[in-house]
Amino acid sequence: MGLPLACAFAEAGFRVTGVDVNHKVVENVNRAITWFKEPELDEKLAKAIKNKKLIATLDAEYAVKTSDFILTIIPLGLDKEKKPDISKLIEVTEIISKNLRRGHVVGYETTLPIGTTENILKPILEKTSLKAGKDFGLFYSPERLMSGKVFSRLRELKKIIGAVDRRTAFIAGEIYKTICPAGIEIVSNPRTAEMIKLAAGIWRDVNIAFANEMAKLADKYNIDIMEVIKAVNSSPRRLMLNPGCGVGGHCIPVYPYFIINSLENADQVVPLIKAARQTNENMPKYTVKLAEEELKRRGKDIKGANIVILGLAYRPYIKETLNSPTLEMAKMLKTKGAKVSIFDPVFTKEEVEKITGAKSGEYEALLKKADCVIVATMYEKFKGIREKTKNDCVIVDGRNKLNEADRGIGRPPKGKKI
Amino acid sequence: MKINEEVLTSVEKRSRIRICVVEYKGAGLTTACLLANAGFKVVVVDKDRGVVETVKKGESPFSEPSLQELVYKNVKERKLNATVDIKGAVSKSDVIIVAINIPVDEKMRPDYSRLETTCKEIGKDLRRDSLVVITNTVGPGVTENLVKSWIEDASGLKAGRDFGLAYSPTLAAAEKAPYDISNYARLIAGIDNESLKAASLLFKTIINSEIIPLSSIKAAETAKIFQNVYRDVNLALSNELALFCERLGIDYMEVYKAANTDPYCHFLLPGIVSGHIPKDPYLLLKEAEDLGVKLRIAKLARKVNESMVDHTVKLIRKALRRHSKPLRGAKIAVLGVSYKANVKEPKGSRTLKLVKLLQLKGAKVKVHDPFFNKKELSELGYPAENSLEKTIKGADCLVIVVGHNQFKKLSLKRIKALMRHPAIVDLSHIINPKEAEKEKVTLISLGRG
Repeated sequence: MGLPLACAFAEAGFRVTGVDVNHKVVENVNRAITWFKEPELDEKLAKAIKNKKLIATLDAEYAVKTSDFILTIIPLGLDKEKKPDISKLIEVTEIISKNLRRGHVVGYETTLPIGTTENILKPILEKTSLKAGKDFGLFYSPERLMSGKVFSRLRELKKIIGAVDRRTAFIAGEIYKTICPAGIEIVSNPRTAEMIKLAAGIWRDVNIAFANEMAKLADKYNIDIMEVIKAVNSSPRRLMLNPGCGVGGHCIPVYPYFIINSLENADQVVPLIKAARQTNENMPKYTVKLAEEELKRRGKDIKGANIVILGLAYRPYIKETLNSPTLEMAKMLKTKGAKVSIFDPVFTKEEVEKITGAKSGEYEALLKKADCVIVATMYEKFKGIREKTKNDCVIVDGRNKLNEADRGIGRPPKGKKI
Repeated sequence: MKINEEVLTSVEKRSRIRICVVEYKGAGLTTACLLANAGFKVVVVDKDRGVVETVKKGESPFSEPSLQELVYKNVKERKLNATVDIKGAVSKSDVIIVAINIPVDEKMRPDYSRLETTCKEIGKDLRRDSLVVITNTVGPGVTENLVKSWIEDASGLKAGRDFGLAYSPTLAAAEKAPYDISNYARLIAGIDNESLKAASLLFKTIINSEIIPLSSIKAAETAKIFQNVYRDVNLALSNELALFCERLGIDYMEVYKAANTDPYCHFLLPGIVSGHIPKDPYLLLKEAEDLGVKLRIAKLARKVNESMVDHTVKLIRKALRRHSKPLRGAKIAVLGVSYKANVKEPKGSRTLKLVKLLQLKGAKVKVHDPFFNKKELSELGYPAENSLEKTIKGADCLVIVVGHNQFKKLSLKRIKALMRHPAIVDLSHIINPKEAEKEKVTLISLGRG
């Protein structure tokens, strides 16, 4: 999200320096070449480069020294123990610290575990003997963007700012106002702002888990969860989400662990947050089970069956596979002895095969020989699968978008009356 | 069936349709009033003689002004009546609307015994071609599996062939039931198309909003319960986060306000009160378990919400500690026994549980709620006090459970002067923390770390 943000500031008239460790990224930016799709980004980048408002560099020291306002936005992943890995963030902060001067304003947009700004980053920055809130400004302002909707959300959502002192909050607010017309929401401190960001992801995770569990019940009741959800949401103050075969990406499956793994007894302190993760992480397995059940109903064994998974990206049109349920399902199906192939319109055959280790190929050819199709990511293109498959091919819809599916998440087999 | 487009065209024709509504609670009386107001001849059936007499006089047993007006007007115009005689009422009716609250027993199992008795009574006198509509919340499958056979066995008639059977849950909050019923979308499902059509036509006469037909009664029963489980889960999530904020020294109210500026985020206000909501999840938790489905989220939500009473006691202890006062022997004033602010409805409130727990731990508790008089409070099991002043006087801690508007007018100066120790536990966030600080009042606000 760093590049769109830099472009937005450049468009507002600031002179922006973008820093990255990847020389290819730096080169691309300076040549105004984008390497991912995002509405409005191409034009904005081209304009910023042309007007000399934006330059990219590998040299972080130089960038810090020549700037007044320093923003860090490095995605934070989880390590093997599912603990947030903040080593890179610390490295960057060390560089900022070494080049910090009086009057600098330092801000973080990366989604962080609660307390990181005040308890970890602030002491690093203060190694210089400059004091946060007195000699330099320090604030946290969570990025609340979403791939594919970056600029619209930047315009429509209020910018949340939590600073160590009022003056910094004011300065940061004035600067963000130039790119966030919806306005500024100043909160008491950085940790409150950190919590707000995590809370939003958690709301979705828990509500998706709720929908997933209710979908499993609907399946047993032999009723369609989508009909029920529509009815539930017809009443005021309800926003029941849709169930699905898994939650992917680098936000929702990751952020709850910032809280869960900061606690010894997460079961007691945040039982819902923890249970929601478990339920959602279990959905690929549930979806595979549905495929197995449907094959069995047709007298087929999953062992040796040709199974095509449609969709590798965790969300349609996003060329990212982090935590994609497809990867998990492919692995499980292989263990069960199925022949798995994967297709996704935004990836080439070679890309899919390299990422997943499963076979890929041409869409229609794959469907033609499939015994079972599992839709993991929904693209418009997938409507009308039925016409392209064998008559007795099982279609499992992990996104509940297809009318022709035999089974969905909380959509029991048609014609089976209890 | 007697309900069709033709008979509904004029109020004059509607007056020839007789409807009986079984039980006045659970919005039964409101539904009856609205139907009477639409022109039908309606009788409310209830075993409570006192209530029947009240309604016959044109008075409402509820304080809600809009309902009082409706009862008065329709009784006066002889469109609404009340009786204890279910036999007489059913045998003369074209439509029977059932509005019976389903309680859960100590083991948290739904108790359908009263619904069963009533359905059997209805069955005995049911006329051919009449329509039966169940409007209360029931477990998925109850209407088609239990209600249907209870009525069929007692009547010898067959649902779908000899009489219509539909399910259409009421969604209404206390004190604004006439508004809610008229303005919220209405879910309707029937045992067959004819029942669905008749019930839809009937409710269209009282609903300004959309009629949402569902493909099966079971789907409608499930949707109604999910509406409440959704609220329970989201209240629990908000409570969980509020408590977590307390630990971290973060103000949940700030998080709530800022996080909800994202349209994909709907946090609720934390609290220990939630009306019907605590009960409804139990209508399916047990059955889900039998079907082998783990509803971890719904189950944990119940646990989290129920634990809020214990948490309140913790907050009270914390407030008292600031004044070096133990809970044992402390005088505690508790405000609010309604399930939510600005209504007179004690059902679903957790205040009684809180009071009992405080008493068990040796505290001396006094309770006040401006919507109830001392007698009413005593009948509900509360150690009641007549006035707000008397309740607060000499107290070591004041606990605001429900944020009635009257409590918002409380002056902190006055409270401080009346109390022995100025300590407040505010569960409904009506006291301004800055003001409390200024007045040197100890304020522990739920979720505000």
